[in-house]
Amino acid sequence: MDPIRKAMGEVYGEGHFSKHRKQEIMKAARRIRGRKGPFAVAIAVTIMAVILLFSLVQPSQHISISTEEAPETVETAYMERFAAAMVTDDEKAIMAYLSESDWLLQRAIESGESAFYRSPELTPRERRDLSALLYYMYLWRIEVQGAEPPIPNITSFNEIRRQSASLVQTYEEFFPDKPFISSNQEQSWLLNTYFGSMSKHNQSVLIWIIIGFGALFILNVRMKSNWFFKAIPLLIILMCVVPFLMPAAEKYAYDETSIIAAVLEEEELEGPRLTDAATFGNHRYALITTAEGLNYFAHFLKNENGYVLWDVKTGKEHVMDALQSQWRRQVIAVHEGHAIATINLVGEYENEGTVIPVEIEEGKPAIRAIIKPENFNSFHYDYYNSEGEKVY
Amino acid sequence: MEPEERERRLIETMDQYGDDIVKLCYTYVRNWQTAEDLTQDSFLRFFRSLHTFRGEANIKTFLYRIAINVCHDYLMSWKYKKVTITNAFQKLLHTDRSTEQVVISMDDSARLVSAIEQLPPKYKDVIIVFHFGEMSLEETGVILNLPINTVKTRLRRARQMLGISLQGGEEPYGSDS
Repeated sequence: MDPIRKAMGEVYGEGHFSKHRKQEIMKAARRIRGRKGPFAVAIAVTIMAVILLFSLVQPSQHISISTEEAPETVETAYMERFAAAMVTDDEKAIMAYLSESDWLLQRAIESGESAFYRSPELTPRERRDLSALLYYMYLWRIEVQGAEPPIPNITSFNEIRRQSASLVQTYEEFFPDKPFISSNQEQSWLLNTYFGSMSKHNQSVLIWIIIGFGALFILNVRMKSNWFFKAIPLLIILMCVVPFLMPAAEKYAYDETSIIAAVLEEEELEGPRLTDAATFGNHRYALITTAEGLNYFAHFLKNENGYVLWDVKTGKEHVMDALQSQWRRQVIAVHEGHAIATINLVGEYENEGTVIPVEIEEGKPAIRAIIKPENFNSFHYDYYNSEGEKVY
Repeated sequence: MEPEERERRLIETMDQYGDDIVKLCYTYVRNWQTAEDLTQDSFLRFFRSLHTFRGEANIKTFLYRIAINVCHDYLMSWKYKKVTITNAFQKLLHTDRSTEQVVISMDDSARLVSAIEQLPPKYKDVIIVFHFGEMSLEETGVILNLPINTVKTRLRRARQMLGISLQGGEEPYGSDS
């Protein structure tokens, strides 16, 4: 036997590992067996947290709108817009077509629930294609104003419905960089949490912080490190989870209901009712009238997540406007009950003599986008009723 | 490895090496109560890591490696440092016999063991694993995570520190040093 081993054996004669200790170890070992390990717990907690977060970030329930009282049918409105989109040689008609937005009609087709249009029975594919066709027809006209559309002139809604998929495909080939995004897609991309409203860069930074500290936490648990070091990454992860639970600072407008909800965040409205809405490029507008007869004109701007409220004009006036300087567009909104049939944009100073007329229907709310000539910056509005008399 | 298999192996290992591990731990902490605590901790760590044990290494090597790490962890802990300071004070207050008297009263084995206990940890490690554990140089290197040449050097120096009493016992391992 090794002399050192022999010496230690002699000197440490009393050193035995007691039965009592062995029993304690066996008890502890059985407890460890039953515990399934901290790694499994960490995975279970993570899965639960992910499920919780997903349930929290789901968009709020859509409020169903009765279509029974809608004043117009989708078929009629669609055919009017289709015919207008086919016009190539009448500058005034083209401008009139471009001044109107198809957004409410698209919404009615896509959702089948609209207070503005009564929708026929359509398949989901037809709903998407008909809506996309409206988008591409408008895009064609604004991009190549006088050119013949690449699709045939069709005079029956059922025929358009039947051919809608191929018509959309034709347009898609011209605009591969400007694909159609349905309002359902727009809505599904939104997250109603603070995290959802963060920029993509900040979102990815946050996710990587969570992954990094999550890995560090699991490593610390597995290495049985000090509780203090286990707690630090956990604390950081918990702080990073807060944006997932906090409501979004910005309210996005992706349908009729969310428009009202977004404005309600900013203004106290009694019995708000959406009377008109329009989308022109990266701008979305809404006209709202309250039970007290107050009128609101809301302007939403598109960011990387969706359309977010930019400003709200209010008052009893029937006419409100908003400038889209980058597009040379002037957006005019008239509220319900107005007495105007024509709005003239009358040039001043260097633009004197230039008049841009906008025809609207008396009493009906409307949002119109007027594409102004270049350098048409100085002007005023003149309002006329159907009798040709100046009003206001 | 199935849970029942792990339990069975734990019992076998405790029966076979339990006493050795207590003695190993004692050389580091010089307190039987603490040595048993550390042994208990070593076997629990052993049980927890059994699923990583692939049978490529000797189970004894695996256990010694764990036990030495447990002892090192303890020596680095605040708990140990607090106990050491308290003991030093107590020794100062209650010294009945001088250290010289204590050493004189010991027989050769006790003197050798006492000398081992006084060794710095890095020399104590190689002596304990190589001699007490009766491991080869390669196994000692694996357990202590050291190259063989370092193991040889440390063994030689440790033996020099332990002095004449070990000279005879060195012979069987003379080729290694």
